[in-house]
Amino acid sequence: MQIKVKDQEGVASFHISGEINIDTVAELKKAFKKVIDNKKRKVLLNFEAVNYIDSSGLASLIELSRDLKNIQGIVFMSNLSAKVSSIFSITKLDRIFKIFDTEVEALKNFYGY
Amino acid sequence: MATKDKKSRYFEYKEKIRRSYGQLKKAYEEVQDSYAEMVFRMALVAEYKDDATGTHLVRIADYSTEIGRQMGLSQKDINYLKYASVMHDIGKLVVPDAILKKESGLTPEERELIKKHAPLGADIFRGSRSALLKVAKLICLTHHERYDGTGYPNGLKGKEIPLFGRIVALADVFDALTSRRPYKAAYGFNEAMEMIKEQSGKHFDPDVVKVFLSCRSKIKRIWQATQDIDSFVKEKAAELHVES
Repeated sequence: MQIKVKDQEGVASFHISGEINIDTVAELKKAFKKVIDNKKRKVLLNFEAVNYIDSSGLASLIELSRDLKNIQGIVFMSNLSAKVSSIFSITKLDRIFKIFDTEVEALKNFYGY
Repeated sequence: MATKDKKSRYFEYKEKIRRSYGQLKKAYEEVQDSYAEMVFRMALVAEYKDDATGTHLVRIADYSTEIGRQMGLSQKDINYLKYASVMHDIGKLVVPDAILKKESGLTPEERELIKKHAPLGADIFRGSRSALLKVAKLICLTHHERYDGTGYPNGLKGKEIPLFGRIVALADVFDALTSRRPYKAAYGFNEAMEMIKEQSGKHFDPDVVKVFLSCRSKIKRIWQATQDIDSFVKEKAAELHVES
């Protein structure tokens, strides 16, 4: 798994690639913690290059969402690959997380926050 | 001059081939991605029939994958296990709802009909040339076989049961034990672990049990993660007033 984080108009934008699983999730959680510690309140996760996410990965997204809520922040997700999208549907997380087809669309929606 | 032209043309062709290969690889990955998506969504249909939560499928995939990994399976086999394991109960699609959702008092005939979900699931994939669907067929057919030969549908014994079936059998039972059902409460993690241990050599392959017990902390993390997902979904559904 590889993680690239960049600042896009005040949004901490994550480009993750590879598989988010029980063995790789620690690295992602570390990157999330850094964002929270730096009081970044807007986070975007681009899943275009993520080919799988397991239960530990999903739990890390929930933890991020909770941590952001505590600092009045929000997380958006975009570009879900087909596999990731079906896993979100199976777990019903697609009904809860704010998911956009493209990164541009997601970034536009941060303006209201 | 001619040599230089030849050389530049060579690099041009090389670049074209490289680009075409990249495009082909991307297209192939897209097809694979859609294929796996369909597998998950198909499995979800069977879950709707059974009233189980979606995390059941994620747990089966994660437990099976972890066991496969610890048993030293190849990455290819681990991937087959990950995607095919979610199809284990697809045969329930052809079992009537009235029987599937009956909480108690199943007649012997109804019990037999429920047992049919194993061969019926395998029938769905019969004749497929896809390696993944062949594994799905095996798993459907053998995930209710027992190591001591008392399982169904064929009463296979020991290593006659394919390894994929032996792995998913344990993952499925462990998940059933730790899940609440209309007719029973969920067993705690430790209690369920003990029950699996107790069934080594009876219901389950001792080698699979040994590996499962050795990765206890990871199994617990998977179990905990899916509990977190379920409670988060429940909590948010209540907040958003959407049907969970």
